Amino acid sequence: MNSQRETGNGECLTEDLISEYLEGALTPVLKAACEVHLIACDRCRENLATVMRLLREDVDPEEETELQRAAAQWERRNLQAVPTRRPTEVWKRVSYAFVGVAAIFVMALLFRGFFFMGQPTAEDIVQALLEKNRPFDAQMSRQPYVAIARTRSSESGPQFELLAEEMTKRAADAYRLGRFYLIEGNYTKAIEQLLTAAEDPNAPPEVHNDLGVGYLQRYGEGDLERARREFESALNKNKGFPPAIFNLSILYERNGMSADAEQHWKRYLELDSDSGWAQEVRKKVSRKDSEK
Amino acid sequence: MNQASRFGFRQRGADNDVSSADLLRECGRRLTDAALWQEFQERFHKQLTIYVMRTIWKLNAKGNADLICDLVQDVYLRLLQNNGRVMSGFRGETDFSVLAFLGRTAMGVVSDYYRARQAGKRQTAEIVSIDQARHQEERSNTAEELDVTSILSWIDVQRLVESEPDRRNATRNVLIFKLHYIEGLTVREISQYPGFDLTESAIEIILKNLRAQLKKRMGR
Repeated sequence: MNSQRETGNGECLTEDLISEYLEGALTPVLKAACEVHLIACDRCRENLATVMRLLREDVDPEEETELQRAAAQWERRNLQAVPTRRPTEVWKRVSYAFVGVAAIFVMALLFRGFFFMGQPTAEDIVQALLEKNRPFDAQMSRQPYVAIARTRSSESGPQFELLAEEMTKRAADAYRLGRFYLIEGNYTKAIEQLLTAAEDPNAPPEVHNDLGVGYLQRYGEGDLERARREFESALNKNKGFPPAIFNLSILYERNGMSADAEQHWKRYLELDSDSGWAQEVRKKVSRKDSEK
Repeated sequence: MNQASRFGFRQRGADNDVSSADLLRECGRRLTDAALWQEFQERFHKQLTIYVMRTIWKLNAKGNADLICDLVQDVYLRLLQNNGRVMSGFRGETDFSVLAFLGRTAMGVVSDYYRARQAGKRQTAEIVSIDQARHQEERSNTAEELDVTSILSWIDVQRLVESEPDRRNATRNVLIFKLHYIEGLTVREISQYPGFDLTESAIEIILKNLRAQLKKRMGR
């Protein structure tokens, strides 16, 4: 940008002065002086035009598409603005959470009947993990609502290996294993298992929804379309299946199809008006409204 | 004096919301406050991404979503430099001043990135500076109706100002004329800025009048 310098037309405009001029925050005298200078000084006028193009409020369709892509990528890479806590604290918290979950299961094994009124099933493990931590924006079937935390929380680690062994010991079926891998963030493995589960023509909507989540999260070539098909399959089996509608809205949002996303938010709220998920959807709707 | 809200630049702080300028300063002071930064991200992340993207395109560079994300992160890092001093020491008060500040920061980060990349390649002859990009863009802009760029180079600007019937706003009107015909800004783009305090139709009238003046001087 421009720096202060002397020209035959007076002193060039600083960045702050350009901003204040555009904002209409200058006194009439200073404003007029700026205009006299801007008419004569090509460089300052070019700088003014550059700032005007940069800051303009309108977002054209090409920009909107790119913006959606960048937003999806930001989400997919689990990026965050700044470390919200010191990294060591974050990792300590994540580790403690998983050690805690693992400890609960070890205790449960030792004191059967006390914690789970019986042997914890593979689904119990999955549910316990989901109650502790929300792995991504999308909604898995029967997932209790937990606010999204902007920290990396789906990393593999020894605790997951331990739990994976427990899952195997509990003869987890392909669907449960798929769900477990989804939470772990191993989407390819999750999709593999969930595809096996979805092969059954009587597979319930839950299976298709979770398979769709796997594709949505993996976000490889053609995965968004695969995800869409799976969510639609879930809705074909149960047209009022809220998680699939929720996930379709995320998919459309990522694709830059705002109108479709909004339509699905509304549809979701018709089916679920009270849960934390519904509140999250409402927040999105109001944010969108304020942007209009 | 501030008319930003009237022109669509969202004005915060009118109700119980913390103003954008205060939020920026507080984020600079409390670098690890998760709630504050969440609010910052909700308000400005989209804008930062747009600014990064526009600067990449302005430099005639191709940026994929990955690169955009990387550079947006670099913008955050630059804001955090020196314990967030650049944010905590921010002196603006309005939303517009915050957006202008973020825009400049984004532009600086992207320009530095491409400069460093070109330097790394040791192909100095191929460096595209902001000025070069600006001139390339200028060349590609097509003027409407008249080849005004060349005409204006003959005409004494002072005379154009003097011939403007609206004496009080003569310099502003000529500036608008130049922004439109020389810099290639659209009427809509100009009308978005409160500094001009004009609607699109008012700008159209100004341009029409000045075009007529020019034609008269050219003896058409």
